[in-house]
Amino acid sequence: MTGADVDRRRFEAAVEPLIPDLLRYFVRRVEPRADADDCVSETTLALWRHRRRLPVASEEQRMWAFGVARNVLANHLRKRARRARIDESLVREEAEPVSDEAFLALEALGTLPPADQELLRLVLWDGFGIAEAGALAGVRPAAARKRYERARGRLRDAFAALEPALTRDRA
Amino acid sequence: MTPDPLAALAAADPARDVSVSPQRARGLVRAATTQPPRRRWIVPTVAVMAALAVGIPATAVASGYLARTGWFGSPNPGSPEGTRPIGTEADGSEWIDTSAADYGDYAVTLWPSSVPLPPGYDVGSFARAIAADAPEGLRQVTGIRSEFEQNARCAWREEWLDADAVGDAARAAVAAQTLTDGATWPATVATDGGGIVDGEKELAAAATAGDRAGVEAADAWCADLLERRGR
Repeated sequence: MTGADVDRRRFEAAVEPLIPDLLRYFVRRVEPRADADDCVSETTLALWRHRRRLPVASEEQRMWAFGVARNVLANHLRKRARRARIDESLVREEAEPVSDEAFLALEALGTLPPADQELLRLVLWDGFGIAEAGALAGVRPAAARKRYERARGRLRDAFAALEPALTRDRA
Repeated sequence: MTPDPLAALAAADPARDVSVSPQRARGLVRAATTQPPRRRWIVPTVAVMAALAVGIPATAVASGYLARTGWFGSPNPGSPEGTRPIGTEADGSEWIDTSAADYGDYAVTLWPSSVPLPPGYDVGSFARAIAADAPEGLRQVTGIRSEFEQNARCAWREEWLDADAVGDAARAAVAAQTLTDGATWPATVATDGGGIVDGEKELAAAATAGDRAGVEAADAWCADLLERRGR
């Protein structure tokens, strides 16, 4: 087996288990769904191009992969914004039905500052610890904890502000 | 009972039903690892003009640069292992890998066209010397250009001191005017975290007023910076 084969196998063994999480990461952040698939392919290509930076430890591999995914996402959103300006007929896909509380929670999330939203998504949906989520966002662990607490508080406030409407509708 | 917003948000995960079979994951990764290497093409006109101006090796122009990462803006592309970002995001410009073997060649192409050097300096050699001293890591184009601009101001400061020492008023006037312009060169302004532009304006004002002591006092560290980067 050549050095290149060893390189490739090590890469595949490290990245294949991350694909489902990477796909979910993009599904949570881009529309339409087909774009999420494209972003995963783009991320995988970027990871392969930069494979010499592949960390040894599996947890670091995950952080590295999501760091690259964040860049792919940023580029995608930038391109998407340009496209949207050109084609204003873009429509949002119909979301799967969720409970009233879940719908309300999504609405509340949308009212938070973008940095707070992303921290909550990384922790609650992507399964990162607070310190890890902070590292992905370029924030130190102590600051990340503080921001997370603040984001949780803001989410509660926003949720509480919206909740009376839900209670009224149910009555 | 009041619902828990965090639990409600966790349940609202848009990807809660998304799954990927191991076969599909394998196929995706294989598609990446078996693709022919991507070639990055620099816009030909710009590259050829840059090559003519500063003498970039033709092979580098033809094949693109390893130093280019294709990553732009925020968030920075730092990884837990290996290459680290140098500095924080300044803007949406590309992150450049200063540890790449061809970084020096690529750095030359980043020299801002609006930034002149005093007579006797060669832009290519000057930029390469600065690039050779760069710490290894990832750095944004705007940060690299800001460093170029700083080095250029140092060269003009030295030009003014030399001209003043021999009583060449015309040369000193050109240097003073360039230092005045240099205080507001774009990358410097874009990366000024506070006080840089003001400090450079003080230097320019001292040069314009013929205040040798003032010029010597401002940016006094320039002498060290210019070592091995001189004419």
